[in-house]
Amino acid sequence: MWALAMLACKGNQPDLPKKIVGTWEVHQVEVAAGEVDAMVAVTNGHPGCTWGRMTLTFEEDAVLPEAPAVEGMAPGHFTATTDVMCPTKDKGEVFGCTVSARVPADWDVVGGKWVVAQGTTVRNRTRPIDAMAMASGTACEAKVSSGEYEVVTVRGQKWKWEMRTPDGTVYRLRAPQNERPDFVAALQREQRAASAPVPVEGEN
Amino acid sequence: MRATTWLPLCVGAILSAAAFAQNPKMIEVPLPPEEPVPGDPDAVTPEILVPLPVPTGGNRAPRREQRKLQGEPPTAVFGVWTVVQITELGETEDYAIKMDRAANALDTDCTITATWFDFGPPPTVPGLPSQVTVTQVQRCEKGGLGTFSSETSITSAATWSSADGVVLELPEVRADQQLIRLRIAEEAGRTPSNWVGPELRVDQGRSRYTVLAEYPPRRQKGEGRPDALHLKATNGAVWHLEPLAASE
Repeated sequence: MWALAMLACKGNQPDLPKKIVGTWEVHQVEVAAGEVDAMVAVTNGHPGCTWGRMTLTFEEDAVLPEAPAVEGMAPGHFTATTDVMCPTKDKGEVFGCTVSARVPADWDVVGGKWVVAQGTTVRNRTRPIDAMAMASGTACEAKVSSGEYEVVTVRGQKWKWEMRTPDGTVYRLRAPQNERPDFVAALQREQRAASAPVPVEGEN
Repeated sequence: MRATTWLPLCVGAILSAAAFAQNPKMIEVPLPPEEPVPGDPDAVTPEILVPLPVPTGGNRAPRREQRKLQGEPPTAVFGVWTVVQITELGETEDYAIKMDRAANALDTDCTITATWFDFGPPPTVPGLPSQVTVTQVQRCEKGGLGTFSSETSITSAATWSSADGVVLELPEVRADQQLIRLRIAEEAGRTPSNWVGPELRVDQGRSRYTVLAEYPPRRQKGEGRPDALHLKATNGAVWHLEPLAASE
């Protein structure tokens, strides 16, 4: 009888949204005009670069007993990381740049979204000091906007999550192949693509 | 005990004694000469032949007298400012020297050479900026990457309050950066050469600074740009800022 009552009570409770944690790679970006490959979206923001990826990391903070708790909100951190590969002025030379921005964020347990109170933009640029350094310098940027990042799980697709960003853009997130960017493999793929024979029109 | 039990033992002992008498193999091991015991007050201390290294640093005086914290709460802040000195525990020190010493102590590939606060362009309506960019400049030296300058900028919302002077609050942000240099192999199919740079991190904890603007004598508040800005952190440390030269 007691067990039945427990089951009945449990049945009345709505299922809480699944929480996204860990590192996820942006697979596609959905904008009003349609879907854009994540690499295109990243390289569009870094003119001249030929490869790029974006990863998002969601961390849960250890809740200390003395810490002030907000009901329904679990504290954590949100990191946006950008990796880009771009050619330099010197022929045959490229650089890879990784930059990340990490800010505090709270998980809305009922709403199923991460909430960032204060966003940030992190930019890095390098400039040569001696003749051994890369002559053209480098630059890359990562951004976390303030606002709500609502997430839902997706089944039967390459991507596992969809996340709506504060500006309305939807990111499709998949498990990353590597935690760190593999610039060497990206460059090798680029070289293979460049050396592949161009198909002649009319040929099958 | 019976005699039958004693007999084999006695025979064995007699035989062993006889064998030793026929082949005496006693080796005399000479003892080493006595050495002075460590810590012996009578022992002779060897003379130090290698002189101690002379402290480097030349004429760079690492510390100065405490810089006076003077000025008034600003009504408008704009432009790019660089940290020139830091006052901690009653001593004022040049920022570059302090950072240089820290890098030497940690033996890192990069040394912080400057920190800039960018409060944006002059406002059309006098007021305090809603966002601030803090840039940390590092000079890095790494095999394969040469010597280069790395600038990491964090742009975040600035919150101002005036309950107790003018207080600037900046949110918690952590920025990480890494650079890699790749060179395409001349021979097709070979793996590209690559050199990985140092991992750089700028950790801007949630900060709260009381801001004072120092104007030259005989100039009134709000008239032109102040000579210096002083940012006093909650731990008592004071960052002394001066306008950044346009060339930097």
